[in-house]
Amino acid sequence: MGDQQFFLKWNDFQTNMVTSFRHLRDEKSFTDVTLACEGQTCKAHKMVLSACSPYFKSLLEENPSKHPIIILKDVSYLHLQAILEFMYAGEVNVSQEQLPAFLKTAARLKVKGLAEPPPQMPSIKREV
Amino acid sequence: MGSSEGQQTFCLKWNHHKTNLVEILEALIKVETYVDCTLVVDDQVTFKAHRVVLAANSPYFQSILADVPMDHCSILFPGVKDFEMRALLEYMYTGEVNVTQAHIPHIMKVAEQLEVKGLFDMTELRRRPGSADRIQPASPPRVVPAAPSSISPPVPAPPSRWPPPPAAPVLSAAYDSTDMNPLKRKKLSSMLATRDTPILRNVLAQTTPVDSSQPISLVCHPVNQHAPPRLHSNGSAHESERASSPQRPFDYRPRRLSSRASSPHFNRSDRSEDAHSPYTERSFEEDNHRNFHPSPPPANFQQDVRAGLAPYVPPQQKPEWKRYKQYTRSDILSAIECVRNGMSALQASRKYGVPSRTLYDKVKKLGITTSRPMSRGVKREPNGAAFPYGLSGTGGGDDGNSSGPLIDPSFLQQALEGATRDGGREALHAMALAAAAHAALAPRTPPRSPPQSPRSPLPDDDHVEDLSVSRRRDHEPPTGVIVPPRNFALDCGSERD
Repeated sequence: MGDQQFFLKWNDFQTNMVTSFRHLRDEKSFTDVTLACEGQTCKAHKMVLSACSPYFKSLLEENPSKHPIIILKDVSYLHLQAILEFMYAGEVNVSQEQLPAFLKTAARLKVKGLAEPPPQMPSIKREV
Repeated sequence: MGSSEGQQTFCLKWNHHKTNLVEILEALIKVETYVDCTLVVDDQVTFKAHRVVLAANSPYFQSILADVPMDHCSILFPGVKDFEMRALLEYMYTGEVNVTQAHIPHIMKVAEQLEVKGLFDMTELRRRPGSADRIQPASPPRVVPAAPSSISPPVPAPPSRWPPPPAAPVLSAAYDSTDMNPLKRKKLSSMLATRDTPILRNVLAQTTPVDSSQPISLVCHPVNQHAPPRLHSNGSAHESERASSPQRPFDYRPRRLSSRASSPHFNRSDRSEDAHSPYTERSFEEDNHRNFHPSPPPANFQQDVRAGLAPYVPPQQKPEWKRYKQYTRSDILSAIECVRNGMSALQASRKYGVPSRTLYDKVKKLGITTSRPMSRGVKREPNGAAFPYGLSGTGGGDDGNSSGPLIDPSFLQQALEGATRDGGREALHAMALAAAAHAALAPRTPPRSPPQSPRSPLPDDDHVEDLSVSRRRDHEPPTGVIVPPRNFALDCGSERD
């Protein structure tokens, strides 16, 4: 009688996760890593960075610090913000002239969905 | 003498402070003590550092590290090579670093990103609109100077002060320019105040033989009525520990221990214009005796005063003007008589509670030979010229006093040995002591002008190296300003004849 299992699923789980993380980032709550480039910094969560980028994952694994500061070389702050936006929201708007440089940076940082198997993965929608 | 009651403040200044700070930081990083951040570059190479040094050398670090709450933080530099970080760290800690030509572009690039001061400033220039197009990376106006093996900060970046260049050349170079206006000169003096010279170190070492009874640290001199003291203190705190060895690494011996001249001890109103000799210890002592012990003091009191110290003046003491007339004419006459009979003037002044300087003056005018060569030697010349090296509490100068020329130890020696006439001997002795004392305190402070005289451009010309009358005259300022050293030179010459 007691071994019947129930499948509980929250349909909004993913949306909730996304909005929650985004919210946490906006509030800078529980941020545990600081990214810096071009003299500016933004805070983020190691978990999100690690989940979205093997580059950050290995970097953070190698340096198990409570709150590391990562100073990124040759990354424009604009691109960094866009990449973080992409990591947290799964989408971002990038202007066309910025796009090549942005993708290049994303490739360097091995951002999942932007980097790996070249072009077809992210569907680049043109917004006018 | 505005506030006379107890508001005496001292400027405690240690001219080694900056260099010490830098040296200590460098020493600390070598042993990785107190480090509070780890820098990680490629290949997991790590460097320990002090956040405060990073922040001091880079506005970038400053902003990044401003809100880092952790006790120890890690800073990761993906893409930065270890040699780059090593070079930059060395640069940030010492102000210089030797790098190979091949590494320069890499290091400069990282320095630019990290906004390392000195290096970053130049890259800013390169980045300027308009110049960016014209100046290619390999073009001559590169940041890096010709010397292939070193990057030196091209602009006066803070760390470039270290290690301090020997000051002697600086001094002479600075003094050679005869057209320095007072403003410039002030700047110069403040600049010099941060440097140490071998010459002055020698003088410090020489003070002991000249007057072995006076530990350096005990000597204070009143100064700078107008200059804002950098540090206010009641002055007594670190006195005794400074006494022993001036060259200890952590010796916080004050280079200048000056008081706002409101102190009663330094404003001897019977002599207000040449009131304070740099050689204040004795006067202080005497004042104490006079103040607290109208009758001959307990034997140990002097000892106490001498050992412990204190240019610190208890605030509740009466100001000088309220007590300097505590003797009567018969006192002074009795004192003079005692001196005539062989007592030293100092003893006599204590016995009768008269100001020793007044007594000296009177005794001197009467032509009495004092039995002890000297106690306080600041004397007034018959022609009324103030002894130029007396520090004046009312003087307009704001940068120390004028014992510069006396700093030459050989002169001191000569003065002590060569002078035979009583008057001259006394005066010279006093000068020597004053100079020694002063040298210990403010070796680099340029002489001050006599009260009311305009500041001369170069009264301190070559004082540090020599005391030569002819030389002094060679450097007579063209304006005809009366320069105290000249007075001194003349006095001295006449006395040594």
